[in-house]
This record gives sequence, structure tokens and C-alpha cells, in this order.
Amino acid sequence: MNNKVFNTQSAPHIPHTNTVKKIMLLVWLALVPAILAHIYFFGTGIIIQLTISIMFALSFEAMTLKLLNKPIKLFLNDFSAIVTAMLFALCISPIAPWWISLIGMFFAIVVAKHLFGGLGQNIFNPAMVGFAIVLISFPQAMSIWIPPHDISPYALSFLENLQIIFYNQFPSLVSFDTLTQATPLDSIKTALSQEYSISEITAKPLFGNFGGLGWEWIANFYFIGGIFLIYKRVITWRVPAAVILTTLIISLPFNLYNADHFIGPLQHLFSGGLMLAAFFIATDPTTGCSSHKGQIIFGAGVAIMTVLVREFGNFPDGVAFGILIMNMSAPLIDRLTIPKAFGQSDS
Amino acid sequence: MHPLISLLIISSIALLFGFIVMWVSKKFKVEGNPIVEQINAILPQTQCGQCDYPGCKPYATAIANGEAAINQCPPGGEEGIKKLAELLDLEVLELNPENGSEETIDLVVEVVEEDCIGCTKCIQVCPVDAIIGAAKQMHTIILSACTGCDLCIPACPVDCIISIPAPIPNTINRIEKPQLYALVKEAQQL
Amino acid sequence: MKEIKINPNHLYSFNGGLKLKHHKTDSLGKKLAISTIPDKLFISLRINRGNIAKPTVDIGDYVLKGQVIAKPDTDNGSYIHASSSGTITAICDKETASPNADMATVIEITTDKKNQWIESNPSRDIKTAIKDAGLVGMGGAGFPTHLKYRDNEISTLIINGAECEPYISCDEQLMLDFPHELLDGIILMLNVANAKQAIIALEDQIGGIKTQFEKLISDRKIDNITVIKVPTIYPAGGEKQLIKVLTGQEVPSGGLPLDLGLIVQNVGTAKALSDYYTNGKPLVERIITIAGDAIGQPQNYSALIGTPISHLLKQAECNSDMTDRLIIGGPMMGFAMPSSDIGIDKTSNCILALSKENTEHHGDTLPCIRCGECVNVCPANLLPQQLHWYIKGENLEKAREHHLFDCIECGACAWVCPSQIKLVDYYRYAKSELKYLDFKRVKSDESQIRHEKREERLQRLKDERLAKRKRTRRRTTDPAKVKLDLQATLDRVNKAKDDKEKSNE
Repeated sequence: MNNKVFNTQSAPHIPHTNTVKKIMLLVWLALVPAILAHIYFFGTGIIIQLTISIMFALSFEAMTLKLLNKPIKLFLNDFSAIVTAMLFALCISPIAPWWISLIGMFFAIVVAKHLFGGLGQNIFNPAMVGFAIVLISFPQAMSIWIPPHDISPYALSFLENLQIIFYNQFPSLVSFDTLTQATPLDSIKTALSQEYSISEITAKPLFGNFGGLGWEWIANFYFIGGIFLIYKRVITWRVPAAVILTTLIISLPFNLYNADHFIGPLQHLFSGGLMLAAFFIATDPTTGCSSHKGQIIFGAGVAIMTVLVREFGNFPDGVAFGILIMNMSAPLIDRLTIPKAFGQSDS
Repeated sequence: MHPLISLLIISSIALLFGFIVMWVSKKFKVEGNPIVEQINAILPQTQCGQCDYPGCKPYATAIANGEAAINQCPPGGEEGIKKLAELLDLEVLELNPENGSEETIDLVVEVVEEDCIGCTKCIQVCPVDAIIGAAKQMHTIILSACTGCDLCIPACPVDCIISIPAPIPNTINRIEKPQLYALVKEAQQL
Repeated sequence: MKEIKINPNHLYSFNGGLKLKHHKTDSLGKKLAISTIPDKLFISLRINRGNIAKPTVDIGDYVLKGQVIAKPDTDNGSYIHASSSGTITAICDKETASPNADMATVIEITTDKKNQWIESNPSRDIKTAIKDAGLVGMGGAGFPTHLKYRDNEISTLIINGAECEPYISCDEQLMLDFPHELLDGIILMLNVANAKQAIIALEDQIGGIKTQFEKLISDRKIDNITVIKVPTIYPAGGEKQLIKVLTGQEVPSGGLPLDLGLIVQNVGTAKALSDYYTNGKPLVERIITIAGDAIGQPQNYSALIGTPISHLLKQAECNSDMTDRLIIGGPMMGFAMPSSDIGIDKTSNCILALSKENTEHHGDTLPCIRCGECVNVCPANLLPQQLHWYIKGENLEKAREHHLFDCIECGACAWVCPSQIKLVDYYRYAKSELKYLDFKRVKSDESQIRHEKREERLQRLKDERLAKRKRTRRRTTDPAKVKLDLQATLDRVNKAKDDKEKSNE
């Protein structure tokens, strides 16, 4: 007994069971309802997009880790690349060409994540960087969506989806125009510029009760998934609350001022990527703020940018840009909102 | 508008701002060169001369005048170069090997009393007066005042001054920096 | 000084904190065991903050139990007594029960098993008694107790029985077995602090002790001691956190509870004071919990200060093959010891022998993903992830700006970290490095002053020499005067020569 040399590590000596892998798996789980709703409304294209995004993401991650001499298995196993790929795939069209994923994942994983330092060190949200770059570089490829199956004249089968994504070959029986349609927000923007009023636009069957048919359900599931994550203490409640409340507060005056030209608060909330951003993208801890006050400011900023771009900007949806601009400001906000330490209240 | 009039307006604005700048520089002129004090505050005050200047203040003055580079101070080490670079908005350079290398532990000196002949040569060169003694009397180093500049070692004609690790009070206990994820280190060595 | 009102029904809370599994029932169900006297005692002379006491005995001396064997050379320290009678066999540097098992002077006593006490006459002045008894904070910090009783106005004395770390139950055992002595000690402390009231704080998971104490207090007709239960959240037993919970006030950063008119003492310290004042027994033993899954008989032991860990582990039937880590202290803040040949000291409240399953990490250490869990649990309202960021990047001054020195090193942040980063190691490194850099800065400022004074002195000497030369040069510039001077000098020399010749004749 006296001669044994014991292991000397430092406290704490009973480790917690929380790991990065667990967190990422919970995020994955929270996205499953929304993905299922997506498949129901828009067909199987999303499965193909998810698969190729994840494959590209993992390959780029493995390649970059090898080049940087970092342990590959350790970092691939933490599943953060998979979550990035999933968020990206959920933002693009289900029939987007395969090279959109390739380029998006390249910029997301190699440039936005690893060139800035890897896990935990990146300034910008990788999924949003990838998305923003493909959105600006390939506007046409990014604007061909398909209508939800309720109003679609033609439902694409799995094979047909594969053909479109990989070979850019559309089914010969149907014309391109019949098959594809812009997103609700895109339609609103185009129609507004053609001097239609909101009530005329939203009367079309593309727009469900609020936010676009199909889209509003997906947004609902993002909301449910997000609440699940808050319950499991994976994300903080402050950011989604700030995003949602600020959206409602900012869009209400515009809507009251001219309901014909500006869509209402609930429509803002349930259309486009706002719900996804509120719970899954703006809550990304690496690229957000650490202090509690900072998180609220961050969420509010995202919402303001999104609403402004939607109302006055050139792009139909401003979520990606809102996120990226707030990512840039996050360190500054952190500096300004350092909480008062214990015992500092008098000084 | 006639081009001459716009030219006149622009030149008078320029002149006005020129006068304002001149007045401000005269009114808020600071005596001496505060930048030298700021640089001196960063330097470690060893007064060893390894930077090729006779002391820290002359080196600070030389840096302020642009005559010396910021990477000539071995006792200041990498940390000192970084701080100077930040202060002066210059590029961070590697320590110039011609001036010496960074010591890993702090050193001071000690007189080997059996060999000391009481010649006072070391007392005359110590830049911080850390040696007590007089002619034909034993010389002693005040350990808490010694900066480890080593100027006394070559001055001693009988070579009786040696370097020893600097005494650190018991209340200060230096702890090692924790290693980052060990696997990365291993991978980088492969 | 603000009036502190403590209302048992209205307690406050501090930010963050963890709910941990207690693991205390194993060691509490049994009676207090008395440890046998070991063959050798290793008494460490390390006192508060790295200072070392100076031995007052020599090798070969025979000492009695309770005899002073070391005195501190600053006021910031306490006396050290022999824990049992025997002969001093060594005074040397050895590993001690401290972080990183630091080396310090250790007095080794070979006991004669007679356990003979020295005659002692405890002073009737309580403050002197505290100093003579060698009392230190037995809750873990080891602060010399006599320094807490200065002439400040004290309104409340808080007796800390809120042991918040898992596995440790020595304070609870003390309260169960020695309630009378504890109350005596509290009354003495009330006396010397001149405080109006005392509060005994317990965790609300403890059963039965509150009623027992309240009955004793009413039996003895004491009206200024109350027992209050605080919620069981780690680290409620930390001094500053406990004060916040009871009073709602925060101890100012860099300050002491004295600034708020409060003194916090561990239950062990109070009982030790009563032992000395009433029975003349200085601090030579303490209750220590031996627990962990590699221990066959987890229990609380009353052990002598300086008892080697191996002696206690043998009595507790420790399975050494199963033991992967040997920890002094609790699982959240304790230090792992490299060997069991080390003697316990006055602040060792627990020995844990944990097996590999219980200490193995669930996954490798990854980089910080900035999830913010650590911010949620920090009881000192800090931003642990920012501190880690800056320390990793060697920007220690930025870490200091983020209130690094307010960190109480409780380990809550490291416990929740999903990347399994050893955060507390970073903070301890940064604190030690900043202290060292501050020390160097003070030294370099002094060197600068010495150098400037030397330059002034040399300049002054040079100026004096120059002035002297100018004076002599001025005298010799006028040719007529020069001639007169020369003549005067020649006359003087000739006169001196003549005088000398005359005296020689």
C-alpha cells in the first residue's frame, strides 16, 4: 500500500456525463419532426439533400483535419459537422442541384469553420456562411422550389428527384414552369414589386393560413423541436424568446401602417427560415454571445435585420444576413455586457 | 458653380483645418516624450545592456526615435515584444538571436566569499547598486535588488561571481499551464 | 455598518450552483470511530498561503502531546503542536496534503504510544486562547482563526455546518456527537467577537440535527443562537455564498466578511476552541471522513493531525488494487495525492479512494464549444468560458479584467463542461502566473528607481568634480594673480624649509 503511486489528476474527480456528442444528437433529434413534415409536404427531395450534404460535410471535415494534422476520429465523432450539414440542407430547395451542396459545404466546413480555428473557434455560423455564399452566387439555382403537394399538379417520385438533383433532367411529361414555383416570401416580393396588394397575394392557395402552405407546419415543428431543446437545457431560452418577440414588435407597426404592403407579424414568424433560425441557428453558442444580456441583444438584432431585409431589401428572406451580421457583432456585445461579478455591486 | 470659387472654398477649408491642427498641437503639447516613459515601463529594467544600449531608458529612447527594433531585449522576452508591438502598433518580431536568448528561469548573482579580494570593481559597474562593500572589505550582493544583468561577472578580476536561481517568496507558487487536448499534441508530433 | 437582518423564512439565493448526488449515507450510518495511534506522525509546517512555520524543537527531542513544536514567523500563521507524545526523528522536506502535493518542511514524530498530554494552562482571554490553541479554519481554507477577531463591530456570527461537497460528512458527525462542546465553543466565540447573535447553518438534506440543537439551545436557555436550514445546492457551504443565502448581501470583491460585520466559522473550529478553553487541549486531532467505492468500511474517524493516510486507509479496509485515485478533500475541490505516505493536516476533512470507473472521463477533452453551461452554474457570476479563452491565449491581463481573482475554484464549471475541459486548472495557473508577474513588476519598478538614483548620484559626483575644476581654473586664469600666487607658494615652501633646518640644528 505504501509504495503504490496513484493517478494524480485535478478536480473535479467525478465527471459529468454531458458530452458534445450528446448535445449534437439532441439537436439532430429535435430536427426530426420538421424533416418528416418537410418530406410530407415537399416530397423525398430533402432526404437526398440531407444525405449529400452530410456526406460532403464529413468528407471535407476529414480532409481538412488530415491537412491540419488534427486527430480525425476525435473530431468527426463529435457530430458538429453533421448538424451543420443538416441545417444547410433544410435551408436550400429540395431540388437544388448537387453542386450547391458541394460548394455550400466547402465554404461552411473548410472556410467558415476550420480556417477560423475549428470547433468552438469560428466567428460565423458555418451553415449560414455556406448558405449566404450559394445564395448570392447562384440566385437562379436557389430560387427554384416546388409547391407543397396539396396544390402541386405533379408529385415528384424519388427517382425523379434524383434525376433533377444530379442530372438536371426534369420529367419530360411536365413543363418546368408547372413543376417549379417560388417560395411564398419570394412570390410576395415579386408580386409587391408588380404593385399587387398583400391581401390579393395571400388569397392565392400557395399561402395557407399564415406563412405559406406547408411552410407554416414546418415552422411549427421547428418550434416544437426548439422547445424540446430548451427543456433539455441544450439551448438557452433567451435567444429564441428575443427573436420571436422582436419580430412581432418590429413588424407590427409596419403592418398597421400599411397592411397592403407589409405582411403581418404572425406571417413573418411562420414563413421563411425565421423559426429555424430562432431555435437552431441563432442559438449556436460558438457564434453567439456568452452573457445573458448579450444573448437577448443578439436575438433582437437577428430579428430586426431579418424583418428589415424582408420589407425593404432585395432578397426575399433576410435571416442568413441577420445571423451573419450579428455574428460579427457578438464579441463587441460580449465586451459591453460583462456581468457584474459576485461582490462587485458596490464598486 | 465656377471652378475657381469651388477651388477657393476647398483651399480655405484646408487652411482653416491646418491652423486648427497647429493651434491644438501647440496648446496640448506635452513636455518630454511620454512615449519613451511608456516604452520604459514595459521594459524589464534589468539594465544589462544586451540590447546594445547602455540601459533600458536609452533603449526606450532609441525605439521611440525609430533607431532600434523592438526585438532586442532578451530579459523582456516574447511577452515584452508583444507588449511593445501592441503599444506602438508595430509588427511582432522574433527575438533577435544576436542580442541573446530568453532565460527560462530568473537568475541573480552571488559572490563566492572565499575568493573575493575586495577590489570594488563589481560595485562600480552594478547599474542598480545592488552590491555592498568597500575597498579591502567583503563584497555582498543584495539578492532582492539584483536584476541578473550579469555586468559584474566579467568585471571581477578573480572570477568569483556566480549565477544562482533568483529567490522567490514562499507565497508565490508558480503552477504549470494545463495541456490542451493531448491528442492534438500527439498528432502534431507524428 | 449595515444592520443585518436574518429571517429563517426568507432566504436568498446565489446565481448558479449544482445539485449533486450526496453519497453521504454510507459514512454517516455508523458511530464515530477513533483512529489508532500510528507509528509515525508527519506534521506539516505549512501554514496559511505558503508560509512555513519555524520548528522550535530539534531532532532527538522528546515531546509530549500538545507541546508547541513550531511557531510562525509572521502574524499570518498559527502554532503547530505535537499530536502525540514521542521523539522527533526527522525535520525535512516532504510531500504534504496540499495541491500538487507540494513539498514543505515536515516534522516526523515516532510515537511511543503513551499518548501523554502536556500540562497546559489555557489563557482566560479568549483571543489569546484561540492563538495558543493553533486554531485555523477547519472547513478547508486554513485561515488562522485569531486573525478574524479584530476590533471590528460584529453583528452576527455564522457557524458553517453546511457541508456541500458529496461524500464529506465529518461536520455532520461532529454535530451529532459533540453538540454540547459545539455550543460551548459558539458561546465563547460570541463573547470574543462581541456579537449579538449566532446562526448555525445546516443543509436541508440533513435530518434530525436541527431539532436536536434547538432542544439543547432551549434547555440551556440560550436566546441568541438560532439554527437555519439552507437549500442543498453546491457550493452553498462556501463562505461568500452562505452569506449571500442568509443575508442577501455580497461580500465586496477583494474584501472579507468582516466588512459586512460578519464572521463565519466552521463547526470544527468552534468545537476545537471549546476543547482548548475548557480542557486545555490544543488542536491536535480532527474528524475526517474516509469514503469512496474502494473503501470497505466508509466511516468518520477521529484522527490525529499528521496521521499518514495509509494508516487510516488500512483501518477503513481500503482495497488498494481497486483505488485509482486517492483524494484529500471532496470530489469537487479535493487534490489527488501521488502516494499514501502523506500526513493529514488541520484542514483535511475527507479522504476519498475512488476506483477507475468513478473517475474516468466520458470522452476525451475537446476544444471549448462555447455552449455557456459554465456561465449558468458559476456561483461567482463570472464568465468561465471567456476566462478560459483568454488564459488559453496567454492574455492574462484580460482574464484579470474579467474578475479572475473572484473565482472561488469550486469546480462547478468544469463539472458541467461538455468538452470535459479542466477549467479550474487554467484559473489556478493564471492566478499563480499573475501573482508572479505582479511580483516581478514590483521588483522591476524598484530596480528602475535604484538605477535612476544611481544615475543621479553619478551625475551629482560628476557635477561636483566639474565645479571644483572650474573653481581652480578660475583662480589660475589671471596672469598677475598667478604670479603672486606662485610667489606666495614659493615663499611658503622656502619658509618651511628654513624652519625645518632651524629645528634640525
